[in-house]
Amino acid sequence: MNTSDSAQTQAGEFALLQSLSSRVYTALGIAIALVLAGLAAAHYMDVNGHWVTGMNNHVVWGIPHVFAIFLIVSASGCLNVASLSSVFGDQLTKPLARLAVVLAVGLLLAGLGVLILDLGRPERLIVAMTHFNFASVFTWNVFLYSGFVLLSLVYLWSLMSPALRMWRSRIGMFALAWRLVLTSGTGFIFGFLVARDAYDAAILAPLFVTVSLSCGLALFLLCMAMLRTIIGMSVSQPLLQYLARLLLQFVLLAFYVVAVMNIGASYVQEHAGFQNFLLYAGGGYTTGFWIAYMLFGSAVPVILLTTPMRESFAMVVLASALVCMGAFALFYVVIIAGQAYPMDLVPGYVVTSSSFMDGAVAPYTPRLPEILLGLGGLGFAGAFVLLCARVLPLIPISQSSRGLE
Amino acid sequence: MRREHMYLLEHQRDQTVYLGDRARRHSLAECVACHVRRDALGHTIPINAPGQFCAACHAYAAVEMDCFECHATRPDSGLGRASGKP
Amino acid sequence: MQRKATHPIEDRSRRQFVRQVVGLSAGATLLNLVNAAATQAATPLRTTAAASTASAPEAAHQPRYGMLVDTQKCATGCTHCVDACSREHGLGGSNAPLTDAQWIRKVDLRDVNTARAVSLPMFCQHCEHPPCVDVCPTGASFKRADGLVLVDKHTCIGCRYCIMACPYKARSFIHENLTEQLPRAPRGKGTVESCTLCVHRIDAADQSQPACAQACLDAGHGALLFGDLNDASSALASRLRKQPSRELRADLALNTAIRYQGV
Repeated sequence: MNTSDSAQTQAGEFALLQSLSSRVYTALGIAIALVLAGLAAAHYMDVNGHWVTGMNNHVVWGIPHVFAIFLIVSASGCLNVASLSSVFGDQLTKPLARLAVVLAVGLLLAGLGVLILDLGRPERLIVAMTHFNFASVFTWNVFLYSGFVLLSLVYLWSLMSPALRMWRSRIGMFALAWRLVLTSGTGFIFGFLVARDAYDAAILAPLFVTVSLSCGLALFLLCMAMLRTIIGMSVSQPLLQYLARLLLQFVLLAFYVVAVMNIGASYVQEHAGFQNFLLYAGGGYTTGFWIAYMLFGSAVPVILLTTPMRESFAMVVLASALVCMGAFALFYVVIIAGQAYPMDLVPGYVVTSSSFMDGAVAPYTPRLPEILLGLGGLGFAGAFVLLCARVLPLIPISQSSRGLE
Repeated sequence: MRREHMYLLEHQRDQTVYLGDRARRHSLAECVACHVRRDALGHTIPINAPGQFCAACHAYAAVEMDCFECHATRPDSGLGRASGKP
Repeated sequence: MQRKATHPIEDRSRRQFVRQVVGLSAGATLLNLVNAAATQAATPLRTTAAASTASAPEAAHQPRYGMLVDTQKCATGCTHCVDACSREHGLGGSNAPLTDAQWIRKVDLRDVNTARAVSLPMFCQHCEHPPCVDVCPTGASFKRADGLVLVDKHTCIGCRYCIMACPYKARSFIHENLTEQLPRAPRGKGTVESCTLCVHRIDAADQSQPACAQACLDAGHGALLFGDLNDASSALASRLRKQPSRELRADLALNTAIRYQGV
């Protein structure tokens, strides 16, 4: 199995997605339906204003931003799968590099799309592209994100073209450095905010990097599972086990950073209020953190991936899905709870009355338009991968594969 | 003026916003105050309404303008407030 | 000179373009000069206490506008400043407190240790190092030379990053379509806004105070004292020199233009 696989990678056989079975159409149909729903929701929000969403003047960034951050951070982590072979020389994952790059591009474009469509004035995107404030992380991100897409396309070209083969590892290394900066920059969106207790910490950058590694790989595994289901793409057991081991390591790494961040913040009196809110008294946020992220998003996948259950493809897929859910929950808690928790305007005083929710936990309940917008992003990523697989040879085929018909 | 009015508007708005120059001749409100028309009852008609001053060119040229999403469309705007929220 | 344009159409339009640009710049410069001459008397950015800088108008005195809030004169339950601001800027309530804009608000507090009650108005602090200006991707959130921190709503894309960044939650996002805006206060859906210290009054220099300070004075409380922090002879600067006051969230080192006494 091993030798034939490595012979396969040397031969580098890839196929276009040619079978247009009902499964493919169903998957594509669902993806496109989500995209259309997202676009409709964005239009509805644009015409009516954001009062139709659950976002308000206290929680200004909601579910769309959680989705956007999730997609962008996963994009970066997904590109890591390609780096495994280009930069770190792993042979098992080499056939997957093209798919990983395409998924990374799709996820990033999706995240960007959700972010842009949620703007108060999305028609002013051209203003954002021409007016820059270089003190702002968002401005850096304009360049980092668009550079990521361009770089990924060049990377893909180097993976597919014999002419650029000798540049592959250098481009891969550059891409790795670029996405580390990108993901750190995404973490610094929050890390640079002195205003709020939950942010204002440089550790948010490594937090986002480590979560990107785990979540990006998990999403890639889910993508592989989807392709295996709808077109029968083969996934060899050694490859699966390798990725499962890697996922385990990334999950533990992310858990470490989350643990350090919370232990450190809980120790100091200054942050005790927010930490108490997050870890104990925050209702849904507390549940999200402990149950969705800690238990189902970290502990259960670790169990699944350390016991013999990891031999099963289905269990690895389950672990991946849980990791994704956990990462999403973590972003939700970081982004939303950080805003909901009140700021301490006058230390030593407690607020007895305010017309602007000072001193009170701000409410936020996601409503349908913003949820659809976020889901539209996910749908876009799926549709993007399927459509690219139709026109570019991305799917690795092995001799034992039944069939791309 | 028809071709260049956006250049002037954009320059003057930067003068106002960034430099605090609110001279009447450069104020959008002053343009509106002169160019607005009144109906039979003497009430001012919103300047961006169909058939009014702005629409006279903008409708034909099919150029959207979003100035009046923020700026007042009548000199006496705001005396009876309403908003788009039900 | 001998070489004729090989692409006569390109060349012609290039000349036309240059002519247009030069013409426009000349026109704009001319307008600027005429405007400068015409508004010399108004001097929108000069200090309101004009007498103090009578000697050398060219030695530009750079004002920095600020305010002192005396919380001991600020009564619980009194909202004159809030109402005045609403009237001044047409901040119509849609009866949706979570999404309605609030430029200034009254906050009642109680000292945790001594149970002493304090009431104060909270609004944009016009920091010297505004976090909102740092984070704005387009530069729409900016600080003027006279210290006012404003939003250029022509450039604002409505990303709300500045609202995340503000330590005082001073900014509001407009969540709905607006109509009947006041001509002196343009505001619209999808952009961010906050207290401007009534910049339209300051620039016009005919009314010297923000509406909130004016209303507080008219009501007989006098809790809000507006002035030029950089003018040593102004009432504001004199009082700040003599009496203790502080910034809110001073640990953030933002050097706000709004100072508070009694809290």
